[in-house]
Order: sequence, then structure tokens, then C-alpha cells
Amino acid sequence: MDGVRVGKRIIGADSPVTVGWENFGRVEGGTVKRFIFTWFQPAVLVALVLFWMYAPESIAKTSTAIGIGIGFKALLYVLEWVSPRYKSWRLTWKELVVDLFYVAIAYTLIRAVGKHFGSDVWAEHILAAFNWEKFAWFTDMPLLLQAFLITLFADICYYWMHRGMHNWYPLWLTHSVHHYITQLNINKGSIGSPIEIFLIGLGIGGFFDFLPHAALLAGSLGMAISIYQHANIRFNTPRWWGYVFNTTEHHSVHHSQDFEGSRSNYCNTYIFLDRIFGTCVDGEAEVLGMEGGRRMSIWEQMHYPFTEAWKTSKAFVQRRLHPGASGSTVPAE
Amino acid sequence: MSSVCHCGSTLRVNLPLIDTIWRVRGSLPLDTAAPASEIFARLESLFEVAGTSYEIENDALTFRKKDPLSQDKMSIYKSGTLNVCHQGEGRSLAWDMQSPALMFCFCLPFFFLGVAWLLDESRTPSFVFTGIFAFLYVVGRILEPRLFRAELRRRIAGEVNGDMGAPAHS
Ligand SMILES: [Zn+2]
Repeated sequence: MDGVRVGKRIIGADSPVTVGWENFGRVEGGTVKRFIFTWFQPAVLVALVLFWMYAPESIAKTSTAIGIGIGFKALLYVLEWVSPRYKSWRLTWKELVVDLFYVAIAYTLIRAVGKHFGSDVWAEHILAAFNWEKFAWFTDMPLLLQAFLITLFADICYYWMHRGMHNWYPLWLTHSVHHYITQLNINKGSIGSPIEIFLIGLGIGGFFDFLPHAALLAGSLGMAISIYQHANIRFNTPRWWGYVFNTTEHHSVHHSQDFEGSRSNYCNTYIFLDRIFGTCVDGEAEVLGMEGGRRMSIWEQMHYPFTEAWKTSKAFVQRRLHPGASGSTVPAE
Repeated sequence: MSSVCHCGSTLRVNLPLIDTIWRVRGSLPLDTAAPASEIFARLESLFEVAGTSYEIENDALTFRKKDPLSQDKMSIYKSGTLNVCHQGEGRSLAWDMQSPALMFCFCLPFFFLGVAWLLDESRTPSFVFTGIFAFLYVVGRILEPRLFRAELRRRIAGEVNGDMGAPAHS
């Protein structure tokens, strides 16, 4: 495969990646269907922003946000069925069971752990100890601007954390499990090694009941953009959306079997961060996964980071003890 | 004629019902006079997929799967046997397969009931997922064997050549 030059890199040399918006598939069907799939994403974003900006305090609660999140996911299931991006990503019974198993773990076990050790605990402390007067310069800003700045800050952190995961071996061991998925659908964000799930769950669990209004708006802003990244939905959304926001197309390149492709589009919400930091590829990919798309069982997903770490350290020690032995060449990353 | 033919259920009535949780058995009457080798040749593309090994011996096809791909039409099964059997006048194709995926889904409601019992703060979502997985188990236990049967019927009738569900590239 030749691949396509994007900046200084060749994308799609190992595995097919479609580069360039003009080469993407389009939504097929009647006028109404095409209209819906052109304006759905911007319309939902505007609706959610308006809701959280004008919702009275009695409604503007975390439980409402969780309820909206669940309802919205259910709606996206329908969209995946009406307008799938790839037939080869079709949801099967087994995929659904396995995906929902991870979702269920997140909503039960990890949520319970989070209540005791995670974000809920420190968020409560921070919110209680917060000297709101010192942050008047921030809290006096328009609500929407506050929310945007919160999501921007969170996404800059996410970008570098994620990029670090792809560049530092111990972190990559943990994150690579998530990259073994071979097809996308809205639940695939929940799949990964238990360490990663717990770390993310503890960090952004966000199940505490009291949150400032701006944080709730920020949360739904982030959701209205990044929830699509693992979706198997074909949209015709106007170009400006994909210029600013992370899309399922961008994220499919990140999950591509192509090595350089997978080292692109690290953001969660704002793809312009990847543009600024030089890792953006405006493309899409259908062939996903690691090691030629090998399937990883749930059991292997659970133990892979540990067993791989054990194998690697054993090989390292053996190289040190027997420098001349045949295994002395350092394996490629 | 194979001596370990699984046609009909009479051979298995004395086994406990419990194995129907993860075991899928069924049969399809054959309205063709084609020999067993020809029948299996029509089914072969189902088994020539990543992670699957199989062998054909006389009237029986035995397969084993390890980590089948997502779009594998038989991804829920781990092992099994398909037999061409003679039943009175006619012939039929019968199968007997094991599905750890069905077993896994069957266990999930109990697992989340346990979570609900252990962790008070996760009670509601645990009960919800208990219900969801119980429902999914019933759906899978009914739907998956039907899909498999329909797939066999189409292939034996010659309506499917090659693998339609495979990704566009490989
Ligand atoms: Zn990644």
C-alpha cells in the first residue's frame, strides 16, 4: 500500500485509510433522511446548550444529565440502525452482550468504587474548600464561555494523556487493549483493560450529586460532541463541524490498523487541538484493530497488560544476564 | 452412516436439561441427493475463517473456534459437530454445538444480582442490568440458533457463495 502524505507522515501505508473529506461516504436515501443526518449533530448541540443555560436549578442536576445521557445513547442505537457507516461493523448479539457487560461494570462496580475513592470524594473536598471569591473573574464570565473553557482545559489534558499513552510503553500496555476493537459502535468507548477503565472511571466518574451549573453545561457540551466518536453512524454534517470537533471519522483513523493513522486524532472533543499540535488526519478507516485485527477475548482483555508487562520485563532481565544471546536485539516498538 | 448421529433428540433425553443453556442442537431436512461431501463443500466458507479449525470425516464435520472475529457468523460457538444423517426415507443435517457466549450471558444476571446485594449504592443500575442481561439471554438463545439454521439453509440451497459479511478489505 502506498499511503497518502499528510504533513510529514505517510498515512495508510500498512492498512487502508481514506484521507480527505471529499472521499468520505455519504448518507443515501430520501430528502428527509438526508436532511436529518445533515443537521442532527448541530441541532442536538444547540438544543442541549439552550437546555442547560435556561434550565431552572430544580432541574439542572447531575441526575438529569445522566438521564439525558442514557436516553441519548438509546437514540443513537436507532441512528446506527437507520444509517450505519459500514456494514462490516454491524452489531451482533455477541458484540452487544460483551459491550453491555463493560457498560454495566462502569455503571455498577466502578461507580461504587468512585463513590469511595474517586472523583466524588475529591470533587466534594474541592467544592467545599473552594474559595469562590478568588474565582470571581471566572464565575463572572458568561455561563457558556465558562463551560467552553472547562471543556477546553479538560480536552488539553486528555489530549496529552492520550498521546502519552501511545508513546510510553507502560501506559500503552494499558491503553492498547482498547485498540484491539475491530468495529465501532456507541458502547465501544467503555471497552478496555480494567486498569484504564478504573483510572478513567475514577477521574471523570462525575456521579456526585452537586455540580455547579457551568460544569453541567460543560459536561453536556462535551457529550454532545464526543459521544459520536465510537458511533457507527454515517452523517452528512457540514464541514465546519469536522474542522472544529472530533468526529467518528477522525476517531476511526485513530483506531485504524495503520500504525501512523493510529498515532493521529488524540483529542476527545476538539479536533483543532490535533491541528495545533500537528497530529490531525482528516480521514476515515474501516479496517480497525491491532495485530491484523486479531480478536481479544474478555478474559485476555482483563489480563493482557499484566501478562505482557511480565513477558517484557522477563525478556529485559534475560537480555541483561545474557547479553550475547540470540534474543539480544531490541524489538521494534 | 455415522454411528454417533445426533438426529432427533431421543439420544439425549436422559441428559439433564441444564445443558440447553449453552448447547445448541438442531436439524434441517435435506431435499437434495447430494453426498455429504458435497453438502459440506457448500458450507465450507462458513468454517474457512480466522480462528477456526475443522475436519470432515465421512458424514461428520467437526469444528473448533478460538477468538472468532466479530462478524463471524458462528462467533458464539466454540466447538461442535454437524452430521449428515439418514432418517427413515429422507436425510437431514443435524448439529450439536457448544456456546460459551450463551453461558456467559446466562451467568451475567446472577453476577449483577450479586453486585446489587454487595454494593448498596449500585443497587438500581445493577438491577437494571440484571434485567437487561436476562432479556438478552432469552433473545440470544432463541435468535442465534435460528440465524444459524437460516444460514445453513441458504448455503445448502446455493443462495450464498463466499462470505457476504466479511469486511471490504482484508
Ligand atoms: Zn488511543
